[in-house]
Amino acid sequence: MTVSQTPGPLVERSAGGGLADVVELILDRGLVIDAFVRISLVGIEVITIDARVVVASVDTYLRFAEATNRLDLYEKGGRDLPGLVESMTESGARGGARGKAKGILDAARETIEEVADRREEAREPRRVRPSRREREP
Amino acid sequence: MGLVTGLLTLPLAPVRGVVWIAARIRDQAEQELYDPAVIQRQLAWVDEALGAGEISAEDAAALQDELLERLRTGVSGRRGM
Amino acid sequence: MTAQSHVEEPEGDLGNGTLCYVYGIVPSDIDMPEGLSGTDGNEPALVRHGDVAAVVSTVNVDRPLGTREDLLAHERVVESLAARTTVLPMRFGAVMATADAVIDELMAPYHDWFADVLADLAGRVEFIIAGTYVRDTVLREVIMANPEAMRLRENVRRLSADAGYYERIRLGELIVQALEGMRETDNAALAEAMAPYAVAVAPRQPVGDDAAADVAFLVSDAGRERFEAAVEDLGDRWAGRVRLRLIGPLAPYDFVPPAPEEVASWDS
Repeated sequence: MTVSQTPGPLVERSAGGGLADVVELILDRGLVIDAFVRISLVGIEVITIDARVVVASVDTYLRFAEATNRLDLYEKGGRDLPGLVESMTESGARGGARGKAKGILDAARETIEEVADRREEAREPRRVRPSRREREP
Repeated sequence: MGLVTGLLTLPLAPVRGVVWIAARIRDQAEQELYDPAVIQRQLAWVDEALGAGEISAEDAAALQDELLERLRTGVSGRRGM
Repeated sequence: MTAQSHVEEPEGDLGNGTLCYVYGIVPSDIDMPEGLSGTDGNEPALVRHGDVAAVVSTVNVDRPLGTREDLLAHERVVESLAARTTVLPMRFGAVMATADAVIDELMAPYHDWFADVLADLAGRVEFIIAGTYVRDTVLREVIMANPEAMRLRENVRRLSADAGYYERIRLGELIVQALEGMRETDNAALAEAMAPYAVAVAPRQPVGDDAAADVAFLVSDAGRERFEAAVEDLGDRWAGRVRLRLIGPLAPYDFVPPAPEEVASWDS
């Protein structure tokens, strides 16, 4: 599964997407064989997902409220885009400080959420781009 | 206790007792743990973190394995698996 | 229509009594890519019947299907084929008892329907465009447009975490509701903006607190360049508010027609 992203185009490109994209695609779409075949269909356990909306939790509300807290209502931009969005090469060295994924996923989940919030904070681009970046050839 | 740790940034709410809160958190945590829509979103977080270089490929794979296992656990039945 | 009644021997290492994982349906006149690794590391093969073929491989089912490897194997096989031919992709997890059953119960009864669908999808690929909100931008929009949100925000800033607890919840709730409305609008806007460049459009369910849009498009090979250029333009216009992500080309998972009501009757 190749994921390619170069710092250039405004639109992020991924050939196959990440695993979440694969999951959403192949678990929820495609030809459903049950509609065609009954007799010799092997009824094994298969994971499925629901393409329904997540009911927002208290946690979500609090995080949004906190985000508005940090928000500057009247001052736009002014912050440079840090080089957060880098090439997608999976470097084991970088970011390893987050630590081994633990059996207790919740700790990792909180970490990722925190990271997402921080990244979101720092990532806001300027509204008007001074110059269009070069396109991918 | 791992279920409670870090799951919600819930400050000490005035009215309800600790036990009630812990029970609610546990309910929600368990609901969330196996909710396919939540797992889907968590998978997306892992992709994002991996893409931004914040976690290693190995860590991403381990997290994904665990999340997918929860999807499977949800299918067969929650407890006692 | 004359029934294609001769049964082709399945290719590859598929004997009777071996469970078949089915990846999808393809035209029968193709060559399989070499050295492809499918579920459990087994190499997929074609089960041909007339003008169509099923792509299958043996699978071990003493365990639930759905590990990372299982998912990636499915995707790998389907997309390897999609790179060289038209694929009618299966949803993950289709397993049949034997290769003979694949022919008798799947390929033979639905041969013409499969052939028709493959003809419709020929020369077309799927792209998915997903949009994510730039959080600060939309938060500003929501607050500016909503006096109660503005008031709550001010309270929240003033009050301590404890005292302002219920205000935070209410503010968060308001924001989530507002975003839901925005999401609906923006999803429709995305579909509408890109529809002229596509053969078909299938809106999906955006997932995530910051999700703005999620739409699948069926694009012809000939129209692909224009489509991709249009996505770039849209990304430019929406910059600062919505970040776009383009996934594809993919097999047309979102454009598989519903199953026929009944098996076509055959005349010989």
